[in-house]
Amino acid sequence: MGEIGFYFFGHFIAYYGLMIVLGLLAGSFFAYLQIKRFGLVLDYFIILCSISGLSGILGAKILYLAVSFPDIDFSRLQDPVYISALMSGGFVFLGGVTAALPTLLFCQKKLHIPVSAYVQPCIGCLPIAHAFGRIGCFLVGCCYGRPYTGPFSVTYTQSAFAPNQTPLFPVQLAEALFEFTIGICLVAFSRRLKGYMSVWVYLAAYSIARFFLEYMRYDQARGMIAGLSTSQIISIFLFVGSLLFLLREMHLPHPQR
Amino acid sequence: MGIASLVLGIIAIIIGVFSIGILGWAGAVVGIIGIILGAIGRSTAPPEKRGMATAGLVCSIVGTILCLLFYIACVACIGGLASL
Repeated sequence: MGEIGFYFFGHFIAYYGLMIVLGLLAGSFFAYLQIKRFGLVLDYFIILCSISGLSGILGAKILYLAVSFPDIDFSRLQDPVYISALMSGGFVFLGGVTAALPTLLFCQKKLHIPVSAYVQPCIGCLPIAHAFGRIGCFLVGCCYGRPYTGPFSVTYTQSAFAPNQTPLFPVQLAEALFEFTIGICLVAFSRRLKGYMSVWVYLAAYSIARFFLEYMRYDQARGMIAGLSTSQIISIFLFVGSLLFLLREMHLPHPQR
Repeated sequence: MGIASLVLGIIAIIIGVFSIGILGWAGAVVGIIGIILGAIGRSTAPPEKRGMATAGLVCSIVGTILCLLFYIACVACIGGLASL
């Protein structure tokens, strides 16, 4: 267990890449169903997803580079191979979420797209897509959990990332399960969560889960500040912010939602 | 918008197929910009003139998926080699 990928008709397919693409397709499928259910314009949804997705990718990459700043060899920045390796390094999901949110405001102000009408039914598709990514992590053994011998422990034998032959807590599957649950709940209750309420519920729930799941992670690339990982610090700010916005949203009268 | 989207979509497909994942991150960015332009082109053009924007949108989506798939495969390979 823990192989990087498999060969399909002579082409190497990485499990992680495959799960990311499957996650995007699953998220898009649920979003398409919600768009039809709510009678919205598909093109506007694609614009919103693409702009927020692009800024999310950039934000996730920038936060990863900031976290791994001490490891960057600035003398090799003119070497294309090194730049490519640096860009292939990784992403921090919370950096993506933090960067994607302001671009939704840009879409509302500049492109005149009623963002809340699209976010309300479709935000649940984000955790569904993210859950597939976590399953990809589980398959290859990255973002692995602490050594653990209880029920559901997983032992990698050929992982390039996780310690092999050591029983580990399947933290990636725990996060994926949580993501599926919150995603399906958000889709199911999308008519009841008005305005941006669904966004704040998702961010508050995810930040709580992420904060505690971080204690179960054992991979070394964590970026620690005052005993807390970078993701835990962002989770605290995200939770407080989303809770304040949720309370504000709950007290808004219906026409302003 | 439609023509720009089509050009970017084709570039993304070319990067995805021929760079074997090494420039996949750049191809994905180009593809996503193509998707944005294609969707804006479709939403602003009259129904009978949406063909080019639709073609650009489809090419950009295909290019982005190809780039992501091969790029992440490449990332996994680099990670695997580095840990050997």
